[in-house]
Amino acid sequence: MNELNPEVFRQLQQVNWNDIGRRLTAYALRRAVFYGWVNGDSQLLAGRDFTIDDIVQHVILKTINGERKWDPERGSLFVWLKYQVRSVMDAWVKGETGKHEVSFGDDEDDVESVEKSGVPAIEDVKDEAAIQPEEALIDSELEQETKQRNSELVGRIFQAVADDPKLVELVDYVSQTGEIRPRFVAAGLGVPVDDINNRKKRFSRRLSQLQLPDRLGFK
Amino acid sequence: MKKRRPIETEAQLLVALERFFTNISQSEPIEAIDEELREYGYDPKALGSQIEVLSKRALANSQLNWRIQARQEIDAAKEKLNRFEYMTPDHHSDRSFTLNSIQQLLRKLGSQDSQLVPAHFRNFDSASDQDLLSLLQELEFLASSHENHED
Repeated sequence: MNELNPEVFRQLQQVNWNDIGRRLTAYALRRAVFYGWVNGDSQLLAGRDFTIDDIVQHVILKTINGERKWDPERGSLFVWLKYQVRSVMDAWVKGETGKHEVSFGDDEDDVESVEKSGVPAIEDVKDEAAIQPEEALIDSELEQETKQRNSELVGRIFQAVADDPKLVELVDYVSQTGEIRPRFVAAGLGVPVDDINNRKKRFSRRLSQLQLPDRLGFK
Repeated sequence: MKKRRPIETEAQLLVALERFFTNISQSEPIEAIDEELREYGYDPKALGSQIEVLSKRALANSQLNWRIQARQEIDAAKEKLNRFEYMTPDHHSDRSFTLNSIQQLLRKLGSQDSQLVPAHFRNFDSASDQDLLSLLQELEFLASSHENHED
């Protein structure tokens, strides 16, 4: 049943939706740029007829009417909404209906909620050795597609940072340490957090200026 | 704090880079977010307002919202009822006086309130003293409400 409990509803009434909506749209934009679903000239996802803000509005409406259930005990609304946006975005790009839900993922603000949530962390992503032979047989074609896509995306990322030593340094640091929280990355590189945030923006800008990949990130 | 393992595969690398480069926190200044939105052709103020209007409308139309409002109205009415000072006290025991008062109030209120029609046809003879007293007090409350309304 799509019903919110009154306390959740009360908390949703207190939210600054204007602020959250802008942040979520920026988050969705960053992801779309990262995966080559949009470039700097468009708000439309490549090959699709919906915009970035359609996804955000969809998630907000589903949350308010209780179809996607936020549980305040498991973490902040903003973190939860971000991962709903991620889930819907991936599903819509894949051409699915966005029925599946994820709960939480890594977040600078809410590391504890990640650990409670059980969402796969980076180290939980399967590597080749962990795949069972039966699965490998069934999914071999898909597997191959995914590997090829990953290689293309990683190649695109390196292309975007190639002639910017500060961005190369950043990508190298994240690659070597697996650290994704800006303040820890900043501490590791011995620079202010603002510097890291500026580099992140520069990265998105450079990535958005590259040609979109020939095919969508997902099959 | 959870210790992160080094990245070993391309898939892990992609996930790490995606999370690092795309994540947004609530502590990031909204001005920086707006600047980014503008780069992609959004008007941040218009976008924020549109989402705010949409959210408020959804909240106002929510079934839960109507239920909360109805509950509040019921609670307010109950409180008003509890604070009302009846002319006829709870321990009043003169049945004929009670019946007479009920008839008078029904005549007075009957033409103004169609909801009272069933009360006109009630068989008062079979009602207990307590039922009659309760009905009288409800009519007193209604009469008072009508008077206040007219004032």
